[in-house]
Amino acid sequence: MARDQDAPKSDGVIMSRLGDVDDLTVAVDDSLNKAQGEADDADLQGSRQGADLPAKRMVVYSASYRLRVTAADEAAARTRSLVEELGGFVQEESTDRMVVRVPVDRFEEARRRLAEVGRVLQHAIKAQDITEEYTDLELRLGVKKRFLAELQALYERGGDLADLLTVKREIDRVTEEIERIEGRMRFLAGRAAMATIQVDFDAVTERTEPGGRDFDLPFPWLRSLGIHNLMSGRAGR
Amino acid sequence: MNARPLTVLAPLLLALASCRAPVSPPAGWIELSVPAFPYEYQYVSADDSRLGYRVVPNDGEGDLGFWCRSIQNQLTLNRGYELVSMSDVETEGGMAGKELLFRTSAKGVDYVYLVAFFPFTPFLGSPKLALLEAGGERSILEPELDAVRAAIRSLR
Repeated sequence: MARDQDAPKSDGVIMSRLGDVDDLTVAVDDSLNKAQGEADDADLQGSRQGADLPAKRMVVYSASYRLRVTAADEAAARTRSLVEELGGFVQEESTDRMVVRVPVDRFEEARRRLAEVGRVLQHAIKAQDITEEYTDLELRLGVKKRFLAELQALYERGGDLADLLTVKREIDRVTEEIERIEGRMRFLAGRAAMATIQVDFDAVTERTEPGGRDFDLPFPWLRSLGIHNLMSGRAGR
Repeated sequence: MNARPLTVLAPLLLALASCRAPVSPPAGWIELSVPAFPYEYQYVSADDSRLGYRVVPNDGEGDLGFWCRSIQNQLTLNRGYELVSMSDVETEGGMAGKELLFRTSAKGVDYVYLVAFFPFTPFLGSPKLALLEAGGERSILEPELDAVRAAIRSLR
């Protein structure tokens, strides 16, 4: 079917009559590539031309702690209490491990207060910058939504049944892609909004020498001796 | 046999061999591709007995007696472990060390825990301790302790 040369244009994509969905798809791919190229240029030049960058960087914070405590259940209760006080929640809990989420602006405070729950044997902190991925998703989402709007307009104009079915399939496909992108963006935003902290409790056994002296030579590796670390298949990695 | 050349050579060999597995594990044990922190190498049996290897600094160049007592204190005073035995051990390459065997229990399960250490100084490096730890459920690992000790003696 011949293309209508006088069809209106939208964002550089030529509106076409039914039967030219393939052309429309090619045109949108060009639009995607153009948008990606502009984003790459913006990244290289350090400017925001042609790309909508988030107002600030998006970083996912996580930390892990191994605490020596006298009683794991008591330490877990204290941890739960302080996490809830900071506006967070317990994501996972087992006999000697908790995974908690706290608002990212309370992350430092959570770390400081966790160190008071027990003696810190090991700790690690990680910051993962997801700004680039999020920006890319935003760009793709914008292009997909524009394409969807044009497909819907094509569909509403009606026409041959076979053409309508083709357009409908494209609408369904693009809708699914949009939902996937939005879902991923929600996931990343959620991870950036709430920091994750894993806490392992290393409880001292009940049997101690009479007098209960806390032996503590200044050699960190001594503290990591024992069954717990050796039998753990997950610590630290 | 004059052990002096061996005591000189052994640390050098240990340094040169640092890129390959440091011990020959007991038969039927396998090496974990990703050892748990803080181990550099870790081996596991099908019954989940474990053997871990790492090198730690020998601050102050403590001798065998110093580290023996330190490890004993750390595990008995702080962790409530029961010391079963303490003995001298020498690797096939001539490195002298000590072995301490402990018993403990956790969550209603009895464990044995063996730690062996060997002071050495790498070529152009600072003094270190090669540390080997073996642990597992007592009923499972105790019958295998001879094989574990043989693995420790294979330290290179």
